[in-house]
Amino acid sequence: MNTLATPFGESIRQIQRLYVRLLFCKQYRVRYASDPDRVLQKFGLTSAYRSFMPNVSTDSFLAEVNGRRIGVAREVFDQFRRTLPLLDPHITNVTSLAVSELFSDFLSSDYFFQAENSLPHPYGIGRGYENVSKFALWIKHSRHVSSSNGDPSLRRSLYTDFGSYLVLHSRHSSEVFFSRFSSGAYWNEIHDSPASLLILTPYFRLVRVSSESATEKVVAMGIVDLDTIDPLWSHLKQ
Amino acid sequence: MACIASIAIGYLLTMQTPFPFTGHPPLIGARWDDGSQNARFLVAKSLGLIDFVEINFPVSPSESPSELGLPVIAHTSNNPLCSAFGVDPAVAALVRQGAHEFASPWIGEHLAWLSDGPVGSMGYVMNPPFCTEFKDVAVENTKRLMSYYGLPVALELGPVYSFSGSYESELHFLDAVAREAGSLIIFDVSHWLISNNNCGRPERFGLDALDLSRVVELHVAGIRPSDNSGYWHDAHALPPSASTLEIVSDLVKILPNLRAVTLEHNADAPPEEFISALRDLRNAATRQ
Repeated sequence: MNTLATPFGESIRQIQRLYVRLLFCKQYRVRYASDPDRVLQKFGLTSAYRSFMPNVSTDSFLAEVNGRRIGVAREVFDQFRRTLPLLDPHITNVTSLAVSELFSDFLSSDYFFQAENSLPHPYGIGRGYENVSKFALWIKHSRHVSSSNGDPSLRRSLYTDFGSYLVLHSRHSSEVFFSRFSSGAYWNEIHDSPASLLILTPYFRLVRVSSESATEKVVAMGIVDLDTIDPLWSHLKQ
Repeated sequence: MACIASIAIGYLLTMQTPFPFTGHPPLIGARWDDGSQNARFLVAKSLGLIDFVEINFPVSPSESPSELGLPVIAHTSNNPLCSAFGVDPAVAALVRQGAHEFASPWIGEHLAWLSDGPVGSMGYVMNPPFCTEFKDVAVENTKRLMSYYGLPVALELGPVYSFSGSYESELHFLDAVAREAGSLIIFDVSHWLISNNNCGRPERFGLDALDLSRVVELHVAGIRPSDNSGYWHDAHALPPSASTLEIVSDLVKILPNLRAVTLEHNADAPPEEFISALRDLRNAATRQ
């Protein structure tokens, strides 16, 4: 039994859910600004609950929104420096990421809001406490990175950036999940084409291996296929 | 409210903590986030500039803050005490373990949300609407955590940009939660100055709303104006300004149970700036 759970009702939880949405999700902010009662209703709240909500059009609220976007953008930019310019060539630093439409889409997605769409935190506190895996898995899903119609250069960049994060934390994480990456990570250079593999070694070197039996060998060495990484995988493998 | 300090001292006596909880002048310390800060902390220790380290739990299992050989105050930014979904037991367990391992005299916690659900964090702490409904939530969460920890909790506010709620201010909200939960207070000087500026209030607004006897710790950091608006932000990459240090000096004189003053300074900011900021903070906090 969770003795730290709080016995409060659904309405107050819905206030929290909506308020947090308004801080991060541009779509909800636009909708709330034009028709607050309709948005409240979607969360099971009457117009009486307007007094709990921020005034989303004020400069002060937008300044807070901007600061929060920059905070998350800093975490994402640091890990995905190779990948981001492929997604939007205008993204060259934290600020340009924070103001981009790409980032608005991420901050409105279920990958950002739902902890079960992320991987466990390296410190052993569970899912939903970092934004690196949320972003990687969102891009992987929304840009079809692990399917035959995905962009090979995006695939290479994303898996190099994300693989580096997984391999790095395999060295010192208390989370069992990360220990699986201690031998590195690999992926087919072209999806569904095992003739050429890219392997990210435990020393962060990217190595191309072309041989018919390459997949068999890397699997035998305990190297993990990044195409298989998703939140469900981390759940099943623990 | 001398009883609050007595409660804290009672905990300390039963724990035989090494934290030198002796009273005025307050001890000077700094927040520690990871091992990259160890070198600068050891320099500060050798110069007699630092009395304790405030560890932000949970920490990476590969880190060893015990190498510093300094007394510890436990802190966390990872428990959302205003969350209507309660506190994540996995996080609380690691914070409790760390606090007891290092014999912390109290645990610093934020009056905040971290997400829209029972687990997870979307980044920096978020303020709830400062109303009686979320006061009740915070009181319940704080009481449960204190019981679980077996230690006092000291509550801290984040910076405010857009105030909402039925309380006169976030400081009135903090006071109500602290009184009802029987908790201590960390008064974040930088957040206070930022909030008063952002809400268009006088610089030292709201101090009279607090039961000052509950304040056991100050947090001090740099602050900066926004590049493109009149709003101020926390800036842990900067040292505290001269005017912030002047306020610290004034606060030390009126807080009867103040025990610790903590510098918050980023690990990637220049180490020499960390040393000079500690020296300036010590001078400000011990000025007669």
